[in-house]
Amino acid sequence: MRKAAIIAAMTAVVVLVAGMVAQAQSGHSARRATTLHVIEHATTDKVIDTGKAGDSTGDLLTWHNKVYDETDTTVAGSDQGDCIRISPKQGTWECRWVTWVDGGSITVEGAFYDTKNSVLAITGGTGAYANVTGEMQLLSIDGGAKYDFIFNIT
Amino acid sequence: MRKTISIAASAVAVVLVAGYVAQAGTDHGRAATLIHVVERATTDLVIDTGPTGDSSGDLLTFANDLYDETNTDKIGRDQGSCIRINTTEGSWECTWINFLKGGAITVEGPFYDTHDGVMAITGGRGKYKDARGSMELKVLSDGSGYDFIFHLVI
Repeated sequence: MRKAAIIAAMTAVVVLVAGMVAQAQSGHSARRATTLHVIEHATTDKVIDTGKAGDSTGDLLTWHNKVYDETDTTVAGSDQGDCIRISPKQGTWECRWVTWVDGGSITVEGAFYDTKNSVLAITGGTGAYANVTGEMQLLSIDGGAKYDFIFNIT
Repeated sequence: MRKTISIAASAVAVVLVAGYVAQAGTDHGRAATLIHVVERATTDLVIDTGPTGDSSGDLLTFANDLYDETNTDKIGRDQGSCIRINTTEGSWECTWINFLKGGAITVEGPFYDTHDGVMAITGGRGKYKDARGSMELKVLSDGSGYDFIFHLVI
């Protein structure tokens, strides 16, 4: 009887430890491995000419667009944001925007270029994304008519 | 001896479970905190850029005092800016910093002319360094300011 009790107790310890290790590992992987891919249709992008007439530092770019799922078939959310022109010569902007998707929103900040792709920082979020960090790849499609937003969330 | 082993095994199980429950309760070490302050919007200023009148790219700046949740005692201040995104929908995209005792909290997200919003907490300094979470933004019933309700994860 005593032997059975000891075996039962030891088995319980092993099962508990195994369960906790498994959950800890899944928790860590869940925090580092999430990717969210949406496609923005850049239909409302507007440049506001401030300061010197024409393309100049300080000009503004605003938008509020729909985003589609990664197959570019179904509306998956929307976004809104703005950029400030940094260097016309280098074709650089500094931007921030929020992207609303099912369950919450994700905010990003970083560089946008006239002629090449970039990676922005994920600065936070709301709802299901309230604790996120990570980065977002920004890839131009069809000459800037659309953009891939690939969130690598940690 | 067998009884000692059995008791020891049970004790180990109790300690492991207690530790696991404690960790789970803090979201893997990141405790959730609620902070409620009231902003008195006394300095808000719109700067008309681009086309004359309300248009995308207009700026909104502010530097206001923050009060406790009863709107009685001054407990800090903020400063920040917004850029007009969509005049039809009445939306702005904003970033600002809230200086509170012991540190500061930065936020980014939408502000609307006619309804409340939720913003992302993007970071902080001092005791709020590495903060994440979200902030409810609610207009006061008399229109004199806003409730800032931070749902912090630090």
